[in-house]
Amino acid sequence: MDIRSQVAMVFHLDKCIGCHTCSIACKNVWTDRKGADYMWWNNVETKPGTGYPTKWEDQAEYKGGWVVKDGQLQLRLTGKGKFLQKIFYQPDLPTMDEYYEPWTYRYEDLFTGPELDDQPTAIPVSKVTGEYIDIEAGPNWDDDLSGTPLYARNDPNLAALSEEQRLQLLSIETLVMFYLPRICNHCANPACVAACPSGALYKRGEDGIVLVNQNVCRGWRYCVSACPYKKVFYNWNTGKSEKCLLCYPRVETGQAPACFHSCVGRIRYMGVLLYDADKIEAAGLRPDSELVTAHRGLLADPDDPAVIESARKNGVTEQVLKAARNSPVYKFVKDWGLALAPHPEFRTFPSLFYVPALGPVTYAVENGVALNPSSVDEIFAPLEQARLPMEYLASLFGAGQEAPIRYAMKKMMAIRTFKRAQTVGDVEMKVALEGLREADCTPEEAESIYRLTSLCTFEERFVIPASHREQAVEVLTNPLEQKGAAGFGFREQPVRGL
Amino acid sequence: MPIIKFGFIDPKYIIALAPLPGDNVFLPSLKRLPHGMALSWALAISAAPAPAQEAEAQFKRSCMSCHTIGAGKKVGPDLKDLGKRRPHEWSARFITNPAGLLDGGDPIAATLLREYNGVRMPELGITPPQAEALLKYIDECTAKGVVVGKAREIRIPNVQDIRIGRELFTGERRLKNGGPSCLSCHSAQGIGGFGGGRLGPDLTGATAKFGPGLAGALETPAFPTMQGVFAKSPLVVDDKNGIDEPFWIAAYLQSLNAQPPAKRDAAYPVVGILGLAAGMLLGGRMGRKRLRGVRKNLKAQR
Repeated sequence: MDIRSQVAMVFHLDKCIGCHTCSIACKNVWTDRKGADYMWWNNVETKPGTGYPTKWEDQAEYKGGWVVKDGQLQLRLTGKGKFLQKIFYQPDLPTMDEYYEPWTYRYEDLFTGPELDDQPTAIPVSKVTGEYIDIEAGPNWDDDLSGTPLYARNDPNLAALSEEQRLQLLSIETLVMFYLPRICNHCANPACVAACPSGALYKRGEDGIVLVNQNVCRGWRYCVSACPYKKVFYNWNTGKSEKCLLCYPRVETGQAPACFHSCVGRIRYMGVLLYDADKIEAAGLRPDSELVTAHRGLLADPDDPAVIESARKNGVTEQVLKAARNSPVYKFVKDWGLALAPHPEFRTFPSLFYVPALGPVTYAVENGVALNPSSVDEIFAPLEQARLPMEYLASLFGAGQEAPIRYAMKKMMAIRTFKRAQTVGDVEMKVALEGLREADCTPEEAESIYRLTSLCTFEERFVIPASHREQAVEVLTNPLEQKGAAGFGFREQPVRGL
Repeated sequence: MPIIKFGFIDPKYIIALAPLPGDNVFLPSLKRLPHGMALSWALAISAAPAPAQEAEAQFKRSCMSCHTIGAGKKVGPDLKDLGKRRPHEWSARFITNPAGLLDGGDPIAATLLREYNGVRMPELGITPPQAEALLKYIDECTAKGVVVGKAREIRIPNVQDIRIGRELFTGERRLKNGGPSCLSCHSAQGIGGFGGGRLGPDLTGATAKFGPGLAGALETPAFPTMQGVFAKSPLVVDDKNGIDEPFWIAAYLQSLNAQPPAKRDAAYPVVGILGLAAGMLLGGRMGRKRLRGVRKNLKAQR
């Protein structure tokens, strides 16, 4: 047993309204620099959709994540032999076309343009060439299913659906979509860290945040390709890779990261998870069908004395252990089984979990008047008839397994019905309680899920222990001394090009 | 007085010294002198105390590979009685600037060039005062009857000599003192896998140029580049053990047909183009699964 602590996250998709406030908060804090214009460490995607960069989930194209080969976990992208082949040219990088060409508008034309019959316009100009640009792609170009023939229909998760289901998903009467905000997952088994030839990426010991050491980064960009979530970006100005750093200066002082703090839907939760690092490799070798269980098996019970002892031996502080016992993430993931990691089949074991979004409430229309549903079955359509097929969610969150998705969906629907019986009263309590029982949930648990979902306070959503940076290993010794790495740091500020 | 210690003075050095404050005792009026005068004066000072040993060392270093004093002709003439044959003034000019006389239409120089197979005396960088000292040394040796250097015995090389010479040339047999083999810099008749080195000249016709003096020229080379390379590892001549590396190499070179080697260079561009094509095919094959763009393919599919 080798217990470590990880600052982990839950995004409650049922509450996400797709407003992109998180993206803007992140952009303003971190990526409004030259060379970082195109980076969105936080972005919000519409599902079904191809996302950003286009079709990032399609690892046949991008070669991210891990695969099991000859009974061993291996990077899909590289290895000892493959690295030599690609040493002078890394052929699996997304191009600017897959992200988008960053642009701005020539605002000064509004003031300096010649007098004409029409209003002056600020034409869009590329931030790369400075020339006029006919914008045809952006980081959320497929927002709210826009450009559907090109984007939503090419969502890689649709491969799990039958042709009929695909048609149903995209016909106007039965359209369905939900939002998927994405940041770096700060994985327990990060492929970017494993792929870096310079040893520039590392997973911080005390909170598991994955960072790029800018002094050591040599711009190989293996991390960009190896990350199956495409959340490492290459800065074209400095020639170094950059990624979401989970606002660690804020986390260190017990504050929530900028995107968490600014979320208007309050969909984001942050808390400590304890996990057993000894089990990671064995868990990664399990077949796809067992990955969700294996991932949950990595997470250790913070009340187990053996876990606490091992954590203490690893230098996990009492504050962190206390936070782990109060962790909203542990509740959502382990206690309640509601939150699921995105694409477990990439085998990186993300520390970010999603509570899947419920489908729309059903209602009947009679003579142009919408009628309220009158029984449990009618509040939500049965899962078999859900507009968003379970196969789709299973492809996104379950490595193809529907069971964990159905469990979470059923429980949430039962709780919704239960609360409706309590507060509105148009559902019989007996039926609601029967629904809870079927969904493996007690009224007490339903109440606490309801509280943490709907009435949660700031302190309940973000249980972040202040970290003791003064005790961090870097203060006493240089951890890079023991690590094979390149580089001596900056003699001058890194800048590429002319 | 540092200026005396250096046998020869770089003019830059004097110019640098001249404006130093407090140096009025030493070269009092130097800074007011024009450049040329300062130079000649400084050279005159430095020449006067040049000791005889230095001239002897200089002779061994620069002259002996081609000349003897009283031992007969080598690559160039025997220098015994030089003072009687030519005026010192002419000899000094020839030593300091051989090309000037050889190309300047001097009748004596032209005659000598013909007599010695057209082998030009190389530019040795000898300064006028050094030339004076050398001539004085030659006169002294002539007067005392001292013999300096020896003309090599003329022996017809046999097959064995040529074979050893070839091995030495190509480096199959190491030079006794560990010097680099000839092939590292020279080519001869296209020997070796890549036709030999390109740094030095092609030695195919060396025998015709240097005649019987070739072995001597190898023993103590007067060529500035080779002097540096072989300063610490000269070719070995050991009569007692029957080792004569310069003779063997000269024998090999002599055995070569004096024709320049056949042109082989056409192979290079062909090999280059084929290699490039093969490399590109290999690169294309290895990178066939590369990312060829995602969004543009989606657009193309529509």
